[in-house]
Amino acid sequence: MVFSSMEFLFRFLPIFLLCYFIAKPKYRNVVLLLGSLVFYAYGEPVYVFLMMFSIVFNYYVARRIKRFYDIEVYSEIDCSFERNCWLAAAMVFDFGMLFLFKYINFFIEIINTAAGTKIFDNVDITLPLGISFYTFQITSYIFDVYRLKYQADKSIIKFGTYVSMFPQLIAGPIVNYDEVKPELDHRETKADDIERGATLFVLGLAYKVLLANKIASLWNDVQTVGPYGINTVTAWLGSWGYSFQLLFDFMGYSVMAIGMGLILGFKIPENFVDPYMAHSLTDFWRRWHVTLGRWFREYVYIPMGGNRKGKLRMVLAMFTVWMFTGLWHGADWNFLIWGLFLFVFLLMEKLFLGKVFDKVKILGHIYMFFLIPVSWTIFNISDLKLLILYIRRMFGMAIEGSVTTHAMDKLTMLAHTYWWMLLLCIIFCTPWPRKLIEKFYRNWLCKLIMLVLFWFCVYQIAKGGSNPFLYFRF
Amino acid sequence: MKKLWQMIKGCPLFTTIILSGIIVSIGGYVGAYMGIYKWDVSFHHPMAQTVLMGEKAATDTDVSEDTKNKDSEPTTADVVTEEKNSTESTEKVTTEKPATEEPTTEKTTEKPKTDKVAIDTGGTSAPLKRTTQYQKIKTRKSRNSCYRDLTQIALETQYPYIKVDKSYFDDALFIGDSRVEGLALYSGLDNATFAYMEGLTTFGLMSEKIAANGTHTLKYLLSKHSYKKIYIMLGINEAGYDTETYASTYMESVAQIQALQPDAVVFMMGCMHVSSDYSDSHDIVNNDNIDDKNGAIAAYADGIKLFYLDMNTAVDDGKGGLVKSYTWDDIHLQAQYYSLWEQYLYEHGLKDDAF
Repeated sequence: MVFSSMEFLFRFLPIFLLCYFIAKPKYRNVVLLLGSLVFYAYGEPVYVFLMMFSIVFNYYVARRIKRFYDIEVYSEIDCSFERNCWLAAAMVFDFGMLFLFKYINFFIEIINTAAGTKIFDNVDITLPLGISFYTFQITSYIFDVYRLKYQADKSIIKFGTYVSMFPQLIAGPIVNYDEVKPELDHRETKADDIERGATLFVLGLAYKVLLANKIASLWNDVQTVGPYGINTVTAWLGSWGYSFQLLFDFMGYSVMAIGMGLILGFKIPENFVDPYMAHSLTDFWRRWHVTLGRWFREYVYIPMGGNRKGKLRMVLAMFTVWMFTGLWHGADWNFLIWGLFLFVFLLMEKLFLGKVFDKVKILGHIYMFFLIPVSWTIFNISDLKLLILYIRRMFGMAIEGSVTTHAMDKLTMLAHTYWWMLLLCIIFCTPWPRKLIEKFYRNWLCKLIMLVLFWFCVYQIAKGGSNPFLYFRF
Repeated sequence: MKKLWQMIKGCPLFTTIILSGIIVSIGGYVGAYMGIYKWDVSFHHPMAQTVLMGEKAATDTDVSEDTKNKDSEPTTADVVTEEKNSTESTEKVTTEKPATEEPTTEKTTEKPKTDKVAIDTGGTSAPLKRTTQYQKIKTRKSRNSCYRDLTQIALETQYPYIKVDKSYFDDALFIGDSRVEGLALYSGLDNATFAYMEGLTTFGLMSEKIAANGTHTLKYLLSKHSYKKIYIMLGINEAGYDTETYASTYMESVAQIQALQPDAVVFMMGCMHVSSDYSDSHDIVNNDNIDDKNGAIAAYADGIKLFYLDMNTAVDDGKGGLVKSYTWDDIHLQAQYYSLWEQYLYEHGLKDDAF
């Protein structure tokens, strides 16, 4: 059940909120946990048990690790072996499940390609919803308990709520346990928080329904023609369209999660800080999917030595981080290429380019103007042949057999259809619209606008739902 | 209680959203109970949607029952009835026009009475039939009431087609939806005239401004210029309408075109298939539906001034679908593959005496 659906907005959310606010504060964690399980089970009626098992198992492991620390403190017997065993068990299980469900077929493909024959058949397996997200949350918890950053929680309800909390369960942000721990223990419902949360929720909904869903067809239109029939400008236009779609889709989801968090009394961390305003790729990744970058920095980059053990170790650590970041986004070759692409540019920035962009910001913005669409194009096109053709087209290289006599006509048509949509996207990429809304959310006019916006979004969703022919104009 | 009131006062936006949502949803249930709105069978369907989209119930059943009694027309799908509300013309058409199988109308082209008269085969042995022949297939069950169970597939009009060159299309006009747009932009046929619009249907064929870069209607174009060959491809955007409605409106349009261009030969191009994957996973936009609709219009071809051509043979994947690698969105050819369609057209020229 996605947030921008009628089922969620008119069934799950109101019923859940009613139960949540009727319940006494001490039962609210239980209500939230049960509600989240229902939410998840609606989309994954089978794999909800996998998640539940994962919660119980990891809860137990964390408790065991804590127990062995306690024994160490009281009896001074070295228990590091036991602790390490439990840590390993948790890692094997958590990453094992992730590997099994997400990467097994990719892995089989690699083996088969390497061997040149079909050694293994592909496994018929579907990816459980949100497994990449909750696995990272769970592992961060286990790591932190192991590193004594905080203690394993006694209450499985609290831990379960942390893992499965529905606002962030299927598309992030990836929350650290200590960020929500105070609120899991005790949270107050403040009217002002609820109001701000509702405002943010509507804003996120509008990002998703009115911006992302609408601009999505630009990329589709361009891909439908394919690299043989478009010219260079169209190729860039299409990639920018996709870049906007991805941003507003993902950011919309995160903002909705933060908004719902506030309504429920949680402060979920920001995930997107105007990423397209970045002046370098390094800056970009501090603004895009912040909580994922943070996870990799904290649990991969720094443990591998970070930038404190010489240049070579740093390069190696960076390489690992970005290859895994690529893989995390999907199990295919283009994601690896994408990770490599990011690594190369980030390394160049770290070594020399970054200083230039920090000094002359405008140069950095121009560089990002071209780098962002290229990066998302690699991210999107999993067919390598097609990817190469598209990139060639972007950089004005000749493609044999192209049919571009009327490519200009197509570009004019696309520009005519999408110019105002693109303009809106550019405006909403800047920090000002959200700042304005967050500043004036107590103002009645702003409230009225948000209410109208909400119903306009709902109307758009309803239109899409009852009339399958909305996006259906060939 | 006072605390609650304080709370509500503190968050008016949140409260209004929730309350308005509840009111609209309840409105849906009450409306459905009173028979204004239709009941949606699925539990997951919040009645808010019904209210917002004004999905009326009672009238629908009346209409479909009426039509059911009149002739053996299959009950119209929800989609169709909904769309009827939006385009009034459709409704009229359904009631006025009889089923397509027995084309008795005077309006449409004179159907040759000499059904099985052989024509000059140009030297080859077997006599050719002017009317459309069908290939029987194993029955494929319909998955939506907007089309019928599929038992046969229309074959292209029999004729000793000749190979022609580009100049053949100097006096040709192509009419259609985004697929024809693709043909206009990415094939080499830039000497022909094209009239197309994304999302064009037979219902808007004569009224929409599709000619000369969207500045004029087809009627205008046909009254100003004369064409010898007129090719039409439509059908994909009409997938949600029932086949009879589609075919009867289509033939009305053809009749109007022929009235304006009496000398032209009109080629009804069978709607291009979608990819097999897409077809398998869609109940409305699928190849069975397309074949049903193609078959219905093909029935009108006379092999003299009205031909039925099927370019699907040029892009077929062997399972009756569009070759997957030729398309990105499963519906349109990618730019470089329009040449296959072009090639097909080159191989399906008529001899001079046909015009």
